[in-house]
Amino acid sequence: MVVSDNELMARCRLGDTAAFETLLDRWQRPIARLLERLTASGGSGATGGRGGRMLTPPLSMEVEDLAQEVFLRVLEARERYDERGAFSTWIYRIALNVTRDAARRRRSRWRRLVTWRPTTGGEPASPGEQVSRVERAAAVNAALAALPRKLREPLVLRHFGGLTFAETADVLGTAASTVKSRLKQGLLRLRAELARRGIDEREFES
Amino acid sequence: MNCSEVQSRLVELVYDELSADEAGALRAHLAACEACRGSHRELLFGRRLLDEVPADERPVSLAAQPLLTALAQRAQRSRRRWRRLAAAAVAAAVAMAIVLVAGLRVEVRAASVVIAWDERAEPVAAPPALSPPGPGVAQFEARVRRLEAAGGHADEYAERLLEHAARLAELDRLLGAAVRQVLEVDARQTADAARLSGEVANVRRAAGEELARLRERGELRWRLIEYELAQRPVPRQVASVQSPTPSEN
Ligand SMILES: [Zn+2]
Repeated sequence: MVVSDNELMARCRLGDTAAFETLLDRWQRPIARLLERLTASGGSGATGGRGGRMLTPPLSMEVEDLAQEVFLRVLEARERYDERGAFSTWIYRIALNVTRDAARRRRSRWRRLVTWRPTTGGEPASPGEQVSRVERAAAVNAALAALPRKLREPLVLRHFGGLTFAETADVLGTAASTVKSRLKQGLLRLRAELARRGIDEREFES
Repeated sequence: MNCSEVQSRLVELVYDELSADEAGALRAHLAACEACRGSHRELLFGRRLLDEVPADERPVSLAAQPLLTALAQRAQRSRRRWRRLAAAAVAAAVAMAIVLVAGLRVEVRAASVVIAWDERAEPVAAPPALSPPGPGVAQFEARVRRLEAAGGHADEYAERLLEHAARLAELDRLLGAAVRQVLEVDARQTADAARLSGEVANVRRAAGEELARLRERGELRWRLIEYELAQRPVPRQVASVQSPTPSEN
């Protein structure tokens, strides 16, 4: 039978390395995925259109560093961990803080690079032209990265972390009503961004 | 349900966070309201786009052991930082004591200790006060030793300060010696001057006496010459010779 995350954390606190290994195996992929979406930088939204996949920065190294930082913080905070809460919410909150800290550190150093990003492939697709699923996903990633952090965080937690409204609000430390209104704004902004790239509701009609 | 209520709850419908009853009520409104249906379609489009993004399949290869090692290193780093802070605080206090005692300028900086000789400082009054090592240095050394005994608080920082303290004691000793030397030379010169001025006075006095004697002798001689001249007839041209004044030499 599967041992719960909270049980593993309790063992981890007692110095059980195997328990930590299990937690690591279980969580490093979802955490890395979340970190990737939270940190992808879209600059001012001037990223390219349908060729967007090629413009997604190769963040793998950075994401792995950030993931390591998340699990280091898990280890550091294991004494303070409150097992009455959900582990997922707790570790997502840590991940969110790690990305926010990293953004603070990177801001000055990387701003120029981000604004310099070339805008190749910016031609909007002509209406009605079919866009492949892969290209569409790349465009969505680019549009997501272009969203302001405030709107991006709830969307990422909801879609790539699989959290409910209440859990998302818990991780972000805001009211559920705030999460709802930001999700709504985020979805509408995403739709507008994609419309600029020639992708709209007609995509799903075929 | 009116439009604004529906609008505020559409996102919950889109994310399936409504009870069946609530969802049913919303859907009933959407069936009848073109505007709200449009909003719903827009939100749903956004959600479907995001759902469609494939999961990132890039493998992540974090292992427990390196993480545990990194954790230990990090803890050590933070312990070391605390120890360094404690040592720096002690060093600052000690430095102030040294300044007060020895008239030196000591600056404890983040990565270095600067000890400077203040050249405008008043010269120290007497050599005994400077006999090495000064009380400030001794206090400092004692304190560092106490700290070391108390739990190894004096790490590299304190060690460096100890080195500086030793150097300080050396400077202290050198200054003491220099001051003693100056005073000795001064004393010797004073004595020499006194002796010389005595000698000069003696010479002067002797010279005065000699002069008086010479004068006296010259006077007698002159009288003798006058007497002899008086005894015999003197030719006219010889009589016009001036009487010589006795030489000062
Ligand atoms: Zn309506």
